[in-house]
Amino acid sequence: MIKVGVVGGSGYTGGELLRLLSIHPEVEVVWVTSRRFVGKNVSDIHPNLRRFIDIKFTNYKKENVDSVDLVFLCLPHTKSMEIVKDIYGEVKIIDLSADFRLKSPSTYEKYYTKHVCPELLKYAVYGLPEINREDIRKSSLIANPGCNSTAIILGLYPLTSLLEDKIVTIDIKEGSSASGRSPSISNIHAERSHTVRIYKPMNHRHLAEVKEVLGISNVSMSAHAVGMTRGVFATIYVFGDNIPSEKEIWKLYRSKYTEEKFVRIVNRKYPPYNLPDIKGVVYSNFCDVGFRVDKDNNRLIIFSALDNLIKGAAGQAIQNMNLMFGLEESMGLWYPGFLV
Amino acid sequence: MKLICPECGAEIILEDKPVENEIVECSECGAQLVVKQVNPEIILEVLEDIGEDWGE
Repeated sequence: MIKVGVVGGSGYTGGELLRLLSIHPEVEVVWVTSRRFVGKNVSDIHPNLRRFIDIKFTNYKKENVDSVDLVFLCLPHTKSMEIVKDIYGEVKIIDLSADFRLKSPSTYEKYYTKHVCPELLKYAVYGLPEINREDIRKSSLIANPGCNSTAIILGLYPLTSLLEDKIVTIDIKEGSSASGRSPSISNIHAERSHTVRIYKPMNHRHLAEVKEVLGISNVSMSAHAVGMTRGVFATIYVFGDNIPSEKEIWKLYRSKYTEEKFVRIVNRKYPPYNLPDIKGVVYSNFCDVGFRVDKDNNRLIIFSALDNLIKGAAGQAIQNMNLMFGLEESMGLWYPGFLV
Repeated sequence: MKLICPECGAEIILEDKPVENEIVECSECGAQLVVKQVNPEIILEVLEDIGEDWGE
């Protein structure tokens, strides 16, 4: 059994991670920390975990790291790096924050803040198995990708050879769980539900990951909050001359994803559900991708959908854990989502 | 018998040789394909797409 500790287990990502870990056949959750809820039962904060995670939240203590094989960090951006600095080399780490996703300290500083251990950035592997599987297996520090970044990168990855002279414009629609469990005015149900709100017209932090991982620069992104709890839907427009035919695009997607368990090409000719849909992926570790070629407008449109808390966070972290420990990659993750 | 979907390029495997005007479906992209010709070679064509109103 893999013994794991979870630092920062009271948020939505931590809760989803604990839910998935609790049913994983090769994992024992040894401790879960929360500064805010120390001493409380984990199931008092995550009631869905009653009878599955019967331990209390503790304070984070460095010496507790000795009791586990793997530490998950489910902390806000800029908090994780303090702990990684402290424990790197002593235990395997999967960091679900953005602190180790970018290779360049100056890019990190531009989008977040000054990095406290930039010398460790080169050891972190960007935890997107569909791209970095072999490096993940050998790594002891995984930077788990962002939810939007995962949707975008998986949507564009088969096309990277085409993108150099193209303009890429991304439209993101995201559910409320992506903004975390801390209350704010914009997250009150009355104000968040039944609306579409542009929350980041430009300079979204996840764009830095997209640019770095795909090696592209002509890319922009606008992100909208929509009235659903879970899910990320990316509509990606690629403009330029010489857009290939749909059959050629099929070939590119097949070359990358035919063997991938968690990426499904959803590109059927007729509706309904002929293209990715949030309904097809929520509560699962799948990312569905599809596309259309709009020849009249020199435009390729890519659609990518995933559950922000699973393939966009906790599920992907477990996929990474499985790889790091030599387990079947889909262990504990092989189930469909919920349609309704 | 192996055919190629004219829509997405996937292989379509049929147990028997199809007849003219038979409709076959591509399991990968779901396209409805009509057999326009069987001799000297089989030619498949994509049936017209359903409109945005889903036919309503």
